[in-house]
Amino acid sequence: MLKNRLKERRAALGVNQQELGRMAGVSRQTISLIERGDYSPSVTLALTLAKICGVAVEDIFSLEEENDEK
Amino acid sequence: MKSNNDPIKQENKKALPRFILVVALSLVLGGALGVALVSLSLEEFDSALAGLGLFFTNHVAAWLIAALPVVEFAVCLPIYFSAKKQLSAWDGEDETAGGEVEAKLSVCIWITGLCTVLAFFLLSALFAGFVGNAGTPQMMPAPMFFGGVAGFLVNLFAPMVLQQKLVDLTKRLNPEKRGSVYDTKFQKKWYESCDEAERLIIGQCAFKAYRAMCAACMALWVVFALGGMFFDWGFLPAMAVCIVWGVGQSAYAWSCLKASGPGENT
Repeated sequence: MLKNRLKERRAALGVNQQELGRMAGVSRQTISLIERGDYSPSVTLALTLAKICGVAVEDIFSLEEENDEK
Repeated sequence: MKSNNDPIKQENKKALPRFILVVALSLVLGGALGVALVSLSLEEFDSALAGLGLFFTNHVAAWLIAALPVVEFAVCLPIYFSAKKQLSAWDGEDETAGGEVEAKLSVCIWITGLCTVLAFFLLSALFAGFVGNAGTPQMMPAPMFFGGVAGFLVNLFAPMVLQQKLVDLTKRLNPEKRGSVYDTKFQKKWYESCDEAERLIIGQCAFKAYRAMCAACMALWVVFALGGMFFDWGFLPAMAVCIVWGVGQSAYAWSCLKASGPGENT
């Protein structure tokens, strides 16, 4: 599962969802969906968001280990 | 590679009994319905149905078509103004408020779309009552027919004005959106201005709509096939349903075929 810290990075940048969306060329809803974990962005969008935030893509997106309880 | 543990075969084996049960139940239900219809007094039912249809076309359709835009505006305008007020007060950050505005606009667009479909249905009822019954005592009075047609024209433009207002407000909420309702390529332009997540959502909604259409066509086909067998409906209604069904199936299959081809991503 993909977890992300986009909300924190956006707050650090001091922009709202609409503004970040405009900077990344996507809608406010898409930023909202990503922040809520309801949508996993494409590689292109993930890289674009990382570039806007001035961090590596891994600093925003990471894979959450699933519990292998058997 | 043949194996008893083939997961494909196992899945089929698991699903087959349920499928056979559904088909058997459908056959039994269909048969029972057929027998029930035969044993009932069909002529009486058929003439009652025809009388109801005549009453609807001659006395209800014209009034309904006149009332439709009034109801449409009465329902949608308060929702629209509420959404507009909420949008004016929105700071661009509160997700709940933004979501609520979008939900309100979507409900209005849904209502206006349904009203347009209903207006076309009522127009066909008017045609049946006036042109279809021309020269017979059941013919609809001319003033009622022409009044109904005028009502239809109002119904054609009223949703357009309302939709333009709704789309403009949606564009204010989402400034990246493109297209005007008055543009013949509105849907295409709107889709093109949607980003990857929105297109994914559109795809998911379209799939649900496709499944709903298939289920509705199947149910309607049963009704019209029975109507063709036991009443004087002919096979035209069932054929019309099958055409819609076939077009939906073909559009879906063709789009899948195109999308899975090399270099295609839309």
